Amino acid sequence: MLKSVRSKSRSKREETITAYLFLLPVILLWLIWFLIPTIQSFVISFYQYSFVQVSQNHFVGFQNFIRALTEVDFYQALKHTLIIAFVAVPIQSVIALLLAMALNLNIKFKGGFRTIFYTPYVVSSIAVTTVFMYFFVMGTPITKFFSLFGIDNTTWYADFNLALPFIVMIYVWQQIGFYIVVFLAGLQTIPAELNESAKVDGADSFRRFFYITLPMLKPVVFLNLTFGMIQALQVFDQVAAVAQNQPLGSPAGATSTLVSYFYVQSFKNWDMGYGSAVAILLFIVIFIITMVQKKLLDDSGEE
Amino acid sequence: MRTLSKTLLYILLGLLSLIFLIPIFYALYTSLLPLQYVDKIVPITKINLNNYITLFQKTEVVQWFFNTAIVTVLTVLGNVVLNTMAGYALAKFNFPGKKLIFMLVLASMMIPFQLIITPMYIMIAKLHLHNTLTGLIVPFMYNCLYIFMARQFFLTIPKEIEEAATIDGLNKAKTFFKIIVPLSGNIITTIVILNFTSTWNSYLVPATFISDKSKYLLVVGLRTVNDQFFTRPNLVMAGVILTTLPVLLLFLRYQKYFVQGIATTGIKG
Repeated sequence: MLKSVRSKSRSKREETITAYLFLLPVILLWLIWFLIPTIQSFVISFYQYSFVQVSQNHFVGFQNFIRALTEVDFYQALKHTLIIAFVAVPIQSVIALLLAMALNLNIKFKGGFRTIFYTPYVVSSIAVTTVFMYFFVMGTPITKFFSLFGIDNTTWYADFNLALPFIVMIYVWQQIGFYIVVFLAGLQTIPAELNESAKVDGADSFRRFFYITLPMLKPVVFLNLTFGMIQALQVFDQVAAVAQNQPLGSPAGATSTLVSYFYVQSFKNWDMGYGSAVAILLFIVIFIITMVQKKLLDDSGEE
Repeated sequence: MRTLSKTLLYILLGLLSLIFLIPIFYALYTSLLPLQYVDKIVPITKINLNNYITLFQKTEVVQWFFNTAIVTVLTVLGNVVLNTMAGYALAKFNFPGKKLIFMLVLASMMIPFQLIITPMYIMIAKLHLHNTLTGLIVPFMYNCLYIFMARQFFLTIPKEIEEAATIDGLNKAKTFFKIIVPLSGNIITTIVILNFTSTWNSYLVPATFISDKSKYLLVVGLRTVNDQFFTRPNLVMAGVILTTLPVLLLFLRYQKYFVQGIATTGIKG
């Protein structure tokens, strides 16, 4: 009896040791490359912290945050970031849902279409932007086509007014496949009998969409909107690619986003304290938008 | 009427497919053309691989390709081993601190990467790891998302399998490596695919940690090729193809796992 209790506690200790041995590499990496940097980031956001002139670093309190909130360039970056997010996410979500519903019908070559739409998502956004830059140089068939709608026939990514729409467009083009696949996976979990019996009861396809499909899809819609927002608020690669040899955010700051603004401060001006403050403000923006979306969309707690 | 609307649907989907396919074919086709034929339709005899050869000679793209391959393979290797072990411990072991660790895994996923890259860079520089491939690999050898996915996967393995292994005299660690790993092809492949793609395509980190041109990764190199040779689309497209082809082939071969990765992270989570 005593022996079995002892061996039980020994096997318990063994289990704990094995568990921590399994977790040890990850815990070490996480401490060094996640926890310490996260804390440091909050600390240096209260410092005048330059990487090049270490001797002049000193505590400045909330000054970096105040500076950001009073700087025109910060608001410009914030504005562009919000425009990208609030234009790209609704467009990509609606089109993705429609396409997912089309692919969910009994059609041929369904897998093929899904592959085609998803392919851009897996390749580098620098590569995607590079290709599209050639399509939107002044005088190409594409810019001529758009000029039929009253848009200047010009080089889009170098034009102050068209550079941001250009980025939104290629962003949606590249991302949409992901959301199609997620919606499609969600649609496939809706039992077919539900639609069948509604059909028997005389509900037309609009009613079936609003009373069956959409409510059943709510968790997936929530996921796509939240994840979509988080991604869109962090756009950077496309901005870096269109700048070419000019400063990030070119032309003339027309494409600066919060991440590119942060990047310029931390790694071009080496003003890392201020850069960290901007990164924290970005985190706060993401956090607020996510929470608002959760409040508006996710009532799963009440069920 | 029914067939008419279905035909319309096929036409619509077909047109949309063109919007997605044309850029890819444009890049491939242009990368094979001599400069004077760019944006023209030419007989197949005019196409050749000269742009790739020129790119090999004028830039360090071959070196960049190997750098990217080394970084990607070692990062993926680390991620597969470390994240599955951690995920297994969180799914199947009982130990003090388990709940806390799992909560930290979830919380870590919410911090945007921009928040940590600045201190990370300072640390990398202090350790003299900037301009080394090591600096691009070691900090990224684990990932909380993959730990979470691995944990979710291991929870679905019935405990009878582990009990049988214990009766056969295997300890917990041996049970994992000898019995569970061979059953985990699915989650391992999913992690490999997702991690390979994101490492291969990553721009922010290699662009920040590396300034020495011979240590560039492909995506960073591609951007400088685009800056330098923009007037020669055929050369730039050769760069685009070199950068995207490995990932494209991987995707076309294993696309089931890409979709599965989405399903396990999103729908069920």
